[in-house]
Amino acid sequence: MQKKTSKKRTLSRKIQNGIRKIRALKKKVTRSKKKDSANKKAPSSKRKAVKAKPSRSSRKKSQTQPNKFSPDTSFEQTQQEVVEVSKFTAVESSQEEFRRYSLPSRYNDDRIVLVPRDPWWVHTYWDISEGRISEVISGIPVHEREGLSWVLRMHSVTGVRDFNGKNSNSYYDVSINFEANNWYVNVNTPEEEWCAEIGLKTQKGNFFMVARSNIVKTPYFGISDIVDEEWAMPDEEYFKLLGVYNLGNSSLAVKKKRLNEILRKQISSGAFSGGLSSASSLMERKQEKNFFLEVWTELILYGRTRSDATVSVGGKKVKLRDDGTFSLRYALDEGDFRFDVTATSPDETDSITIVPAVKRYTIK
Amino acid sequence: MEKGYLSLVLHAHLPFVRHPEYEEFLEERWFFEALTETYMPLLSVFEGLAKDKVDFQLTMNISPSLCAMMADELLKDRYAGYLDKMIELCDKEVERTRFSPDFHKLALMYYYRFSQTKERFVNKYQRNILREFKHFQDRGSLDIITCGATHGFLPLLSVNKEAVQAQVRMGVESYRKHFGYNPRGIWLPECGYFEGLDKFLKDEGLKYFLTETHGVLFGRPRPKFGVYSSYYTRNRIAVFGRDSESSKSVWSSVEGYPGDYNYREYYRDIGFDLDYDYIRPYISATGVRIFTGIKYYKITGNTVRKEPYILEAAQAKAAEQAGNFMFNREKQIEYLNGIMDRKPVIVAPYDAELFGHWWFEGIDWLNFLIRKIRYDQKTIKLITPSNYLKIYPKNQVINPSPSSWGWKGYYEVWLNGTNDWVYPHLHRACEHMVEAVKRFSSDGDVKKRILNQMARELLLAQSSDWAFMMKTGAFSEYASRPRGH
Repeated sequence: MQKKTSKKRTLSRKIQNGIRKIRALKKKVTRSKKKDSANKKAPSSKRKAVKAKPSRSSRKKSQTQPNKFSPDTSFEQTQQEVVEVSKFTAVESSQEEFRRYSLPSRYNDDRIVLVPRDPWWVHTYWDISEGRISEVISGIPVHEREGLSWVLRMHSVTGVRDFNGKNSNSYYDVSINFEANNWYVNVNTPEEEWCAEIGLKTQKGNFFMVARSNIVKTPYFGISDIVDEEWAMPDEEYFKLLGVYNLGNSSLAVKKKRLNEILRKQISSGAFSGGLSSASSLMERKQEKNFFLEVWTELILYGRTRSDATVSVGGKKVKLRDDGTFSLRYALDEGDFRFDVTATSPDETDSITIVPAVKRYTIK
Repeated sequence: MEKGYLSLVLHAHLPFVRHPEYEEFLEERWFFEALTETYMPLLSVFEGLAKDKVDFQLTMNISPSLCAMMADELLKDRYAGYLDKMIELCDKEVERTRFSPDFHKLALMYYYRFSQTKERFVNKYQRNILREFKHFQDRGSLDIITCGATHGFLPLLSVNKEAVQAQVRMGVESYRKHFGYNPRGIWLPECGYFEGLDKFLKDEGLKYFLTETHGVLFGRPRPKFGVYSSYYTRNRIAVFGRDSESSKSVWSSVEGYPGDYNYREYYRDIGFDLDYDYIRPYISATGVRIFTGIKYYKITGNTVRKEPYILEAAQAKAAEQAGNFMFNREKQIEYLNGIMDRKPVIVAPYDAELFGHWWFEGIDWLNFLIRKIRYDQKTIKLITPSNYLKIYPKNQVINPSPSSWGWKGYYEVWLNGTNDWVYPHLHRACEHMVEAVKRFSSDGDVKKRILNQMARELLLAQSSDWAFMMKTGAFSEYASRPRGH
């Protein structure tokens, strides 16, 4: 009995492992795909034309790969694993569907888009056609075309009207891997407007713009120093309002600095935020991963009588199958148990009682 | 006379999951479980309060995708079927635990809960959950607010203004369809705010929205009353910021109420604990063990050896914590009242599914809290943002700070290495959509229907839930699939 239960548990664990294996394999493919493109060195523009192709074919490969997974997984096939594989056929078919409706891998619309991530970071992605690159290269003086490199030129454009690529407050360049198609840039200034240009830089340091992004502003950080006249309140009073923060007894300037530190820490540690933001996240709480063993026991009580008889266990009537058999299972804790099984004939003239009893204990 | 207000806001949302092409679809269970454990129990609480003539004011967001699921006939049928199956399992559990008194009591509790739920869903509500919520709105106890059409994370969609406009407009339209009037407020998906969003809200006739704490606290110019008052944006939409103190006591996994040792342990579920053959018919059709919602243990402590759950002890704890929460809010309001020249409001928003589903006793906690606030003190009063604005129609004007209530407070949860690949597609798809509408919308019925279907699928793809799941790795395979059929 105990043995059986534990065997079942191993089986189910095996299944879980199987799933994990398959998932891991799938992840590996996507990861190796990513690594592929990451490992590529920023290519010169000429080489790029050739490089674009492998990246496309590697995508194809990763799409066909999943087929390999279901049948030849290494664990031995048992009844339940067959059931398990059938699950994956279901998933495979939806992969099939996925392929049929798959999204285009490229748009070739010569575009770079900028999005803020937080007060200090922006994210950008680009999709540049071969045609556009050739066009830009043809505008580069021939003697400068060797050793071109891809850069992002980050323009600070706060307060700039009609930005034209030349009139930013300041700019700096970030070297990028063109094939990555996207990049996170640490601009490190809250509440500042940014515009990104992607382009080719010559060894002499000349920049040739390939595409220019939209303008974004990084989110605000910290309590504003701007105070509305009509709603003015002395700073000391204001800090009382934030009474939850213990800022000590120092000068106002120190207090302010300390407050900003606390706020930054709180925000980045997620103390402000629930962190749970949709039902699925409720599954997230970490489970204990320590080594453990749990053993439970159940008792199966089964038997048969005439199909029109009435059967009770411990005084409670139980359901008979059409053929007069019955089967009951009970959780079996530690202790002594008796099961008074009584069958009574339909006319209630005959009655038989059998009382199996068990003692369940654990050997120390 | 009260010295200030508490505004409890429940945000109820699930991503739209409906798969008629499969007989049983695992992800639909999210909805069924939330109905059984959160939405219907909330209705019970409201009914009880109304029956006992306890005044209350709550704000609740029922997201458009959740509304759509609640109103969907196929999902209603499936929910009834799901309940039948759960009742069948509970029945077996009552029998199985007969000689094991601690568990037997709990098995009976679940049997009763599921049977009751079925009875109410089918007979009392005639399967119309939305009508029941609307009923409490009509009698002034509940301010139901809307949300983005599919819970799209607006700051990252804002590259296309049409995307933001569609999310907000469809959110308002869906609300009108389900509730019969215009929504006053909106729950911004994930509290995601970006500069300029208020204009879109104004265009759809909305009156207020809520942000994360620093959405208001970091506003420009400095918000005079911190997060303890309403403000207007430049477009005259009212904004309220979340109070971090009251949210921590409920949300925090360390110091929060839900971690009490007497409470039910979420992770010990018979779907994982019981013998495979026995539980097989009640787990996933493919045979993978899943949560069934039947859980017999309490958190017990930081140990793997869990003890049986004791309902009475857990309920006593919930009552005690409701008292503690109320006491802390009273102190907070008294303090704030002393430094503000108006009555402060504490805005405390929570995911509705936290109550009942994750924090099993959360529903009781809420019930105790509302009753205690009504009878056990005089310092605070429950209020909705709409009613606070009636008391204080004149407010300071600020630019709220871009923010969200996700980890790290800004956009990173929905924009990182696991999910940033979706945005190039979403942004382009939206442009194509706008283009297609311009070209074909006057071309007659069939094309219009195709356009509508395109728009629906695009909206579904924009849901922040998928990006979130990719981030956490939970259900990421499902999340990465193309949406709609």
